[in-house]
Amino acid sequence: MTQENEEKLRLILDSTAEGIYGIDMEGNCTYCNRSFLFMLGYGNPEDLIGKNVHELIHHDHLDGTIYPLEACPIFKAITNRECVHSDDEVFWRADGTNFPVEYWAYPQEKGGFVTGAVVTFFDITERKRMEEDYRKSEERSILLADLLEKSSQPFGLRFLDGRMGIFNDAFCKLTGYSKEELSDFDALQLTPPEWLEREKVFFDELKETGQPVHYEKEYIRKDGSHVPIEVLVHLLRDDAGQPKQYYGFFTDITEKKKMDFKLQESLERFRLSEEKLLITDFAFKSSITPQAIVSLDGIITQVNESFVKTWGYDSEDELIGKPISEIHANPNEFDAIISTIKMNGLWIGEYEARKKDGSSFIVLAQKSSVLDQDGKQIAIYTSDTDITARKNAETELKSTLVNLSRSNRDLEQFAYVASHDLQEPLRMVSSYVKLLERRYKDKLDADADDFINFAVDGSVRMQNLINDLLLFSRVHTRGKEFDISNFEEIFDAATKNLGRQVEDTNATITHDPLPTIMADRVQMVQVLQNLISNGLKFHREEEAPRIHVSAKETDDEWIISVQDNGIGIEAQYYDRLFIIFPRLNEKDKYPGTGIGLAICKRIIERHGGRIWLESEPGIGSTFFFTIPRNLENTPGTSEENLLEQL
Amino acid sequence: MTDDSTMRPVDILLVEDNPADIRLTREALKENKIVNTLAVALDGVEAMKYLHKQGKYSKVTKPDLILLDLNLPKKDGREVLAELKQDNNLKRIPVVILTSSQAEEDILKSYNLHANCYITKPVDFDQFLKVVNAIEDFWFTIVKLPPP
Amino acid sequence: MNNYEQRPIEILLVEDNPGDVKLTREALKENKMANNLHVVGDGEQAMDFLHQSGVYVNKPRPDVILLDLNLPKKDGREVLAEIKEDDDLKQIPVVILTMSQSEEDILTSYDLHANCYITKPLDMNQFIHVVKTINNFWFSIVKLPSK
Repeated sequence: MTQENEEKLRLILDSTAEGIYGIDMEGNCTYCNRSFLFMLGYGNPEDLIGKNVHELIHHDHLDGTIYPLEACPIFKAITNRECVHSDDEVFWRADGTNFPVEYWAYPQEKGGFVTGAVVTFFDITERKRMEEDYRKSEERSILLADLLEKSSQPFGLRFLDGRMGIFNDAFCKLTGYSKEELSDFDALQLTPPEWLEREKVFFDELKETGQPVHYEKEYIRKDGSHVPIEVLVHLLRDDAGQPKQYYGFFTDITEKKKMDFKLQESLERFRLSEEKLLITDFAFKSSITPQAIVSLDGIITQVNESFVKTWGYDSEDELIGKPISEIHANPNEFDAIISTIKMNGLWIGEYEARKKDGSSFIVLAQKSSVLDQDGKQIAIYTSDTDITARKNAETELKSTLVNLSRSNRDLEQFAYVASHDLQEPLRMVSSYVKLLERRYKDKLDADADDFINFAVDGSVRMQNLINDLLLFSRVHTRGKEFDISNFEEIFDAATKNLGRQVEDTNATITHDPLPTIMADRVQMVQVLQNLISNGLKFHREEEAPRIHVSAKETDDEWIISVQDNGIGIEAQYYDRLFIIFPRLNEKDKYPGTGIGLAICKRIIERHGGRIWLESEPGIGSTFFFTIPRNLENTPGTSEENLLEQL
Repeated sequence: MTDDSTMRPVDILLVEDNPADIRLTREALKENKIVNTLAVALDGVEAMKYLHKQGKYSKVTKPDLILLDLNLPKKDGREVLAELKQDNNLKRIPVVILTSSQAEEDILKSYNLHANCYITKPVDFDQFLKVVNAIEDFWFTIVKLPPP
Repeated sequence: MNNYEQRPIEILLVEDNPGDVKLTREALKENKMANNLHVVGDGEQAMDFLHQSGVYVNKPRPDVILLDLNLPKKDGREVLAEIKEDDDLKQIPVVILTMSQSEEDILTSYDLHANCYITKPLDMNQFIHVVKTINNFWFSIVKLPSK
């Protein structure tokens, strides 16, 4: 080789990135380029020329084991006259460090004989690293893909237009489609239309922020059923930053929803029972009825405010923990009560209670045992009402009734005796005067006749008065129990009794439909007869009496009215009408004792009603009276009954 | 009047303490055509004596009818009635209780003691006349009295 | 007389002769006061009626009994005796209304405390008159015991 050519060759060799060196038949370095020096950390070619390159740079394997020359492929290139290539070995630098290398070795020939070899090589550290990285990354990807593939969590990726990309078995299971079916599938079908709208919000957020969104929705499976799912959706952008694909992790939350629901229910039940507890607790505490809870051995464990107050204590603490005997006037009573409760579960009765200050009062109590879920008695609940006032009222009422009853009997007795004793002399007077009349009628003068008439008349009136007084006194004591009474029958009876009077006065008596009421029938006949009789008595001279009876119904009473076309009564006399012995008209024009209306009033009042009148002098009068409709409940039925009830 | 009417004069015993009433009864009886003898006992004791023909009454005839008031001195009319109706000799005589009492107890008791009937003296004289006539009519023209 | 009580009078006629029953009924019809005539044909029925037993369980207690003496099954005398010995029944006035004029019957009846003894007249008009008089006396003049 000429110098010039050598120079050119050296320039070329030194400008390459590859490291190049030559070796002779023994493997000694014949030349090396700049890159060789650079890569292997030598300063000078002279350091290498003539030295065995293998010994210098290829002496060991990476793991530190010796790499014999004979094994070296480069040497083989010489011996076997072949090109060799390797990329999985290392070269050793001058400083003892190594680097992965890729080399090619070419045998050099001259005149048909191998003279040595030329080796070119690269430091493939980077490449190796990249390869390693790649491999690692490949490995990782495969592992990840496998994990994803095998995962029980459904995973799916789709393109914006809905085309399915990647998905796993679990996704197939979730959606009910096979792998093949999903490969050519519009994923948008999976979402029910109503959800598509709703999830738009999330997708917009995702596109805007790029942050994964998490929400619940439903999928329609292949068989048409809906499955509730939870999704975590991610966005993949392309290089231009535009949304390219969505991928998501799905979770079938059917069970969760069931659990949720059950939990909700359970929570609700708990809340309700909590609420109930709160309410019953409140009810217990704030009730105006004194209530307490007592343990089975008779110790007070809870009381409400009312209990505290009723027993005259100041606070709960004074009572809680005390034996129940403290609040009974007769402590032994409670043992008997407890036994009853333990046996029957219930005790209702009255007992004498003792207040804090020692005073006693009567209580009506209801005590019952409190049971746990197994039905075992765990405590005693007691609800006690102070009935002292009621008992007093009852006693008073009873005493009042007894007095009233006695007073009515006294009245009747008085009236009876009075009338009986009065009747006797009256009878004498009347009878003998009449006898006189019969015997001596034509033998006396007109004056005597008049005298006799007046005497007889007087005694007759006296007799009527006495009869009426007796009737008046008997309204309560001879009153019968109220019974179903047909007022039309009562009307008939009354008018029949007045037959004579009706005939004499040429009267017309009519009635509207009349009700059936609860009343003392006989007394009602008395009332009606009296009122009609008055109408007949006090008629106007020029007109025949016309009487009309009618009835009106209200919510709680009947109003009966008896209307006449008689002489009428001035308003100023209304009140006096109903008392005993009033006198309004000249007596010889209108006979009658005047006690009739007092009797009516007494009877009506016995029935719990009222009586009054409206009248216009010269036109007529209407008497009204009421009968309450719920007389079954009125105590005025009979005095004996009333006393019995007490 | 039936054809079997008792046309003989009848004897009535009136047991009554009130003279005015006695007189009234007598006058009322007078008005009737039936002939009768009215004997009067003023109290229960006298009445029994009369009926037992004791003392001054030894010669009297047994009455055909007794008009008996209830309220009598010495021996009450109710006692007289009881005694009468238990006496085999006297129990057949019809006893008409003629009294002013209207008391239910008196009425019931009298019937229980076998009074033949009970009549309340009316206050009105005309009525009284009617009653006495009715008694006479019924007991002396319609009814068969026990033979003496 | 004021009668506020419209209760009709209950009459028990113990009579086996239908002709007499008819006459009695006719005569009573003319009464001012309302009355109900109950008829039984023999003594046993009479007692059943009074005891309100058997078919007579709903029958009212009579205010007056018109009793014939000669009756089938149970004799009128027996009936009279039973009635007047029964504390519950003896207050009811019993009017013996019979054909018999025998003194013995009259005596026996009064002994047994019959309230009065009446012989049925043979004449129809008189019979009616008798019934009317009984009616008038016992229902207008006499005070009957209350039930």
